[in-house]
Amino acid sequence: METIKTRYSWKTGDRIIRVNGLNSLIDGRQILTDISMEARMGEITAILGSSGSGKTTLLKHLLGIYPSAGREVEVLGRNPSELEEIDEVQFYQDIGVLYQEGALLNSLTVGENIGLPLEQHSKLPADLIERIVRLRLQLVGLGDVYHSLPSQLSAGMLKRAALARAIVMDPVVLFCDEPGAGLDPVTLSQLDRLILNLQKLLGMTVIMVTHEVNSIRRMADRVVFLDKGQAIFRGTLAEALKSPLPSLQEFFARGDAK
Amino acid sequence: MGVKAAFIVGAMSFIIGLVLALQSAAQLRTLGANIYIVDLTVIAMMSEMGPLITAILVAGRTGSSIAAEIATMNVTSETDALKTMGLRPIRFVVVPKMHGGILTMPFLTILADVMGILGGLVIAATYLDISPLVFLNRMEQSLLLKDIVFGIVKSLVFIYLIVITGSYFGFRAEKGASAVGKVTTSAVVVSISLVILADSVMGLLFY
Repeated sequence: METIKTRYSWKTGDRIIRVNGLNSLIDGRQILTDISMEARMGEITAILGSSGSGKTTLLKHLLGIYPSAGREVEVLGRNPSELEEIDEVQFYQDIGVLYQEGALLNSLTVGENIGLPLEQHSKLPADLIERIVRLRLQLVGLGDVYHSLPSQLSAGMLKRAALARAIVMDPVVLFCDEPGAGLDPVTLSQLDRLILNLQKLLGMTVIMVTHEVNSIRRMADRVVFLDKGQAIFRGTLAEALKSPLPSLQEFFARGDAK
Repeated sequence: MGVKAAFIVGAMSFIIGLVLALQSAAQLRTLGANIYIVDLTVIAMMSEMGPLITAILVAGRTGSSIAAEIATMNVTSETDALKTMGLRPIRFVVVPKMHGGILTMPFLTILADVMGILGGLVIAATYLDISPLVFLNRMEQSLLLKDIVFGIVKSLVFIYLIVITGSYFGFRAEKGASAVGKVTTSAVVVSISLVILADSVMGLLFY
C-alpha cells in the first residue's frame, strides 16, 4: 500500500511538485503541450510567460481545479484532481493560494474570510480563531481591517488580506497567481518583500505565476518559462538570465524596459 | 432568502385574486351562481395561482440574484478559492440557499393564497353582494386540506427548480463581466419555463 507523506515528512530540497508530460485541452483547444517541471521544498519557483502562454492553466492543474490523469501532476505526492473527499480536505490544508484578484468572499468581512478555513477545518473556539486571524493580519502588515468588507480595501490591502488567508493554515506550499497584477511598482515591491519574508519565516515553498520581471529577479530561485503552451526552459534564475533562448531573452528585456 | 419578496408577492397576489374574481363575477351573475365565486377564487388561489405567482416572482427576483451572485463569484475566482480552501462550492454556496428557499417559500405561498383570496373577497362583497362572513363560511366548506397541501408541495418543487437553475447557470459563467448578465437572463427564462412545465405536469398527475 502506498503511504502518503504528511506535511512533516517533506525535507528541504525534496521534489514536492512534479509535472510529467501534461497536456491540457480546454473547450477543444490545446492550451498546454507536454509540460514537465518540478519544484523543490523551500524554494521559490516562478512560472513565467507572456499573456496566453498557459501559466494560469498550468496553475489550475497544479491546484486540481482542472483535471489531470495519473501521475501527470503530483503535488505533495498526490494528484490533486483525483483525491477522495477526505484526502482533498487534508490536501487543501497543506496548500495556500493567493489569487490574482484576491478572491475574498465579498459577503464576509476580512476577518471572517481569513478565519474561514480554520472555522471549517478545525475545532478551535471562535475567540482563538479571531486571535490567529489578527496575528496573521499583523504578519501581512494590515492594521485594523478585521471588521472591514473586502470592497472597502485598496488593491494592495486586498492582496495582503488574501495573502493572510492563504497562510492561515500554515501551508507547505503557497501558490501565487500574478500577485503583482493591478499593483503599482512600489506596492508590488512591498508585496514581494512580504512574500519573501513569510516564505523564510514559515518555511514555505512558493510557486509563483507571474510576468513581472522585477518580481522574478527579486524572488525566484528556479524558473519555468512557458511559450505557446510549452515549457521551453527549466532551470535556476541565474541560468535563465544567461539563457540564449531568444524568447526568454526578449521576455526579460521587455520586462526591464518597462 | 425570499423574505424581501413578501411585499411584492402579497401585492401581486391580491391584484390577481381581484382580477380573477372580477372576470368570473359577471359570468356567475348571469347564471345566478354568485356564491361559487368563493369556490372558484379559493381553489384557484390555493392549488394553482398562489404557488405559481409566488414561484414566478421568486424566479425573477431571487433566482436571478442567485445566478448573478454565483456568476460573480465564478468570475472573480471566489469559487476556485473555496475549492482550494477544501470547501465544496456547491455545499458552501448552494445548500444554504436551498435551505433558505425551502423555509421561506411555503410561507410566501400561503401569503399569496391569503392575499389572493382577500382580493376575491373584496370583489364578492362589492360586485356580488356576498358579505365577508358568508364568503368565509362558504370558504370553510369548499376548501379541502388536499388543496392546501398540494399548493405547498408545488411551492417546494418550484423553489428546488429555481435554486438549482440559478446555481447551474451561475457556475457556468465564464470570465468577464458580460457573462454575469447573460447567465442571469438565461437563469430567469429557464427557471420560469421549468416552473410552468412542472406546474402542468403536477396538475395533470394530481388532477
